[in-house]
Amino acid sequence: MSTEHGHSHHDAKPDPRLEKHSTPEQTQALEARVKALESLLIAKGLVAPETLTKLAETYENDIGPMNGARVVARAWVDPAYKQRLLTHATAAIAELGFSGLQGEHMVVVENTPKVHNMVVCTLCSCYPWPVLGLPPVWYKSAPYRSRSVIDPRGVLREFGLELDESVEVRVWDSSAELRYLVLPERPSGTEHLSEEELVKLVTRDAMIGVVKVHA
Amino acid sequence: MTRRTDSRIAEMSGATSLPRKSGELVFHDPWERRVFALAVALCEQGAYQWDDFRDRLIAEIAAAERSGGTADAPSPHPGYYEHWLAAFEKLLIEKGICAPEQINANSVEMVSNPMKADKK
Repeated sequence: MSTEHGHSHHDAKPDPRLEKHSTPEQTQALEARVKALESLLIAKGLVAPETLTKLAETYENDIGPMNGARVVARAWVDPAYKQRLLTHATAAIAELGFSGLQGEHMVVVENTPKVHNMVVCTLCSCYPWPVLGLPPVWYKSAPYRSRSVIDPRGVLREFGLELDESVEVRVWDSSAELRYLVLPERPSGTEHLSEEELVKLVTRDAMIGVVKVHA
Repeated sequence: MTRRTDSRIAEMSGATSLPRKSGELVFHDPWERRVFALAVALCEQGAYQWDDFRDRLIAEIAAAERSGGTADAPSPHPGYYEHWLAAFEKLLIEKGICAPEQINANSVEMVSNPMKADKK
């Protein structure tokens, strides 16, 4: 396996456990065995089937963009938190219970009416997964990685974001050591919304900085 | 819906760390997802502490590494969630949650030794 660039540990090491290894027969046997176990535990009243479905979904989805959205919403409603987030992002994010980074530091960059931030990884696909989950396919694509630096406004236009010439665009290149998260502007007309309602407005793309958050 | 993940589970390290791709959990088959949820659910309900489960998972993985040869066969050793399943079954028995006979007597053997399971 050749490395596509000089950084040795940019992407996580390939994990052999990610490869499926069981034969169809083994899978079938395991499927039946877990089913039996599940039925037994349900019959004992120890778990409810709905709980199991929800639990798996939580662990699959919750370790994802929702975490980032909570960070953003908290920053919108709590100025002291926002201050901590902009100065010591890794610690501020951990305050909400989100960590799991392996030595990388988080940096949060704030969008304002005058400055628009966007995040890219020009070398591969470094991404703050504990707060954003799985990177979108386009984030890993060669055109996004190269063009974000050469023509950020053009890229943003393709995402439907037309910025005024007076707005400064800053492009942040992620690395093995630094992962960026954009703190989008809180949309106007959301003053009455609760933190929980604000969480729902924040999208993954807004936290990468290719769109704005809309009310 | 403000259910949160338990960091002691989500962030286990080393050999016990949950298999992930770009940060997201990877389940190959539905049974892996189910057995993951079963172990987490019973812990949340106080049937055992997460460390109880984790210790058994560590033991399962370590035992497989000791016995497992090098990976030249297409299916060299059981996958992560097979260890998880074996650890979970043993824990259920040890904690007296299930009687040994309630859990297929074959199953423990089957996991630690998939070659035998083939001939079952």
